[in-house]
Amino acid sequence: MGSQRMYNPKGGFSEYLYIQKGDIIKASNGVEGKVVEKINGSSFDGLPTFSNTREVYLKVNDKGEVVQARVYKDRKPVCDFDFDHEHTNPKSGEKFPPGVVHVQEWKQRSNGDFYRDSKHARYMSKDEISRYGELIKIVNSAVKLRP
Amino acid sequence: MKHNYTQEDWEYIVDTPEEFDDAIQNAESDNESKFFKTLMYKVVHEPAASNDVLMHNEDNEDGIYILRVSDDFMIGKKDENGMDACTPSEYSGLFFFLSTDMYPYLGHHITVGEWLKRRDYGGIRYDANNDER
Repeated sequence: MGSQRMYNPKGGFSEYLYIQKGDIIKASNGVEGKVVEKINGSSFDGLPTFSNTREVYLKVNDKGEVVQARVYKDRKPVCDFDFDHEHTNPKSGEKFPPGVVHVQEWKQRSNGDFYRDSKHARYMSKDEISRYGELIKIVNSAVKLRP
Repeated sequence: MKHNYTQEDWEYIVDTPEEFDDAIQNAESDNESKFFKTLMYKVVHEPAASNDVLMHNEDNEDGIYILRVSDDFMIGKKDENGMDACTPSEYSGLFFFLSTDMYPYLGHHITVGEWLKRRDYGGIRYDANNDER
């Protein structure tokens, strides 16, 4: 798990920047996630760009609460599920309250860089709830999957 | 102002190169110009998946922190124990973010842009992209 610079497409990283905290968390539908923390990190560290083996990485805040889940496919970022802060979309002014999951997707540019699409924050889709909803509720039961 | 940016560079970004050009041309100080020039580069070239710490709470008297992922900007406030004093908020797009009211964090009305301007961008970190650490 690490950054784009250290990512090896054939597997692993040139240097591992994060460590697993605690056990692998398993939902009954087989989806697995784990809490990761940056080695020698700070409270402002986010989740890595790439995963190593798991589909979902989880971030905890200073209080030990899980506040974000990042989904990966083939080790590459797919989307973020955020639930500890309010998010406001530009132009429409649509607000997503803290405590309810909002979703932002990662896109890949033709040069290979990944970029989070900030224009289209949204609530979880039916399919996302079906696949990741249970895992999110296991790690933070107070979170609402939809308003 | 001519740039080497492509249309694709801006595809997922809320702000436009014209907005940045306008802000740079109308900057009221060297530090303001540097802020917009640097942020223009950062939003296009530095996704900052693991957060770019533009302002650390220890670098200003109000305990404010500002984080960036791509062109999402999050603002929050830490108390004296380093814990969140109130719920952080995230805004898509720099110029939208700069227009937001800091009342929930400061108890008086001032936009993020005005707050930064008054301190002449003091405390802004340009070398704290966690992806690079």
